[in-house]
Amino acid sequence: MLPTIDANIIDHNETVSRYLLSSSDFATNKLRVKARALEPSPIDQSTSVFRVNGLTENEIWDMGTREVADPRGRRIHARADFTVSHVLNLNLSVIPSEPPERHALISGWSNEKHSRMAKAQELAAQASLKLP
Amino acid sequence: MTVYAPARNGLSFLFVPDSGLSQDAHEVHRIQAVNRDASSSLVEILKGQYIQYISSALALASQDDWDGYQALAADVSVFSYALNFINQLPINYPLPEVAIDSDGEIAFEWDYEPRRIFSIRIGRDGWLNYAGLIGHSSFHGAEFMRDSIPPEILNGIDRVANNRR
Repeated sequence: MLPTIDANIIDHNETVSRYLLSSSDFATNKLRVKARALEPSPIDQSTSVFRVNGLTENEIWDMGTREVADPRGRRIHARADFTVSHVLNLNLSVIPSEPPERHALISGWSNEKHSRMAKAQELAAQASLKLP
Repeated sequence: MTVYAPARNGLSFLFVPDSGLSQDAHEVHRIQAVNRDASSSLVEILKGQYIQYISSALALASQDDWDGYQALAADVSVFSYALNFINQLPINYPLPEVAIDSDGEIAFEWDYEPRRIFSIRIGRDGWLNYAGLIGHSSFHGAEFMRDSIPPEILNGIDRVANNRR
């Protein structure tokens, strides 16, 4: 059972994690995230993330395995962590989207592809890479 | 998803006039000419390898949801545009990493540091979306590629390769 958080209110200082399912979504030797790993899905124009405040490292990895990797038959190679304020500063929003528990979507991406690329580059520059 | 293609360093050549050269200068000139031919051949080989890189990337992303996040299958119709881009890239420009974007387009990236990156996406219709980040300066846009690479794209590559803000 994970510690509960308010499903409707997201604090600016919260940290969110994007689970990375491909080894090419990050550069291990440079310890950083590739921008395209943070760009929105072409299906729903949003980026899927999980709110991780109050969780231990093990709980964060377990949640990713349970909610992201296993349902897709994949494994998690790494994750990108950044704060909600990083997202808001780019004029994007973080919207709770449960279930699953603690799931949220980064939305508000531009219709122009080059604008989405630029925002993902800025977000990646501020993200920290975490390895299992 | 990326098929990694190591970015080569820029190769530049020094051209000097023929007239009025000393014996030593002629020798230097001869060596430069030999190096130039060798470098040109090397670049041609590297460019040839991109056919394999791009083909492999397209093959690995040939089905929807190849990235686990609802990505669209790679669009083989962009293959010829991508090859044309690599062939048109001037010899003294670094070659990019190759990847497939989540919407099936081909991505070329010149990625040096988190705040020193330039990326283009090659679309089905020949449009090139690009974005660059140098320090805290961001620039982006879209250009159509006709017979040669648009100057805005070349300028973007040059800016990140030479860390020119």
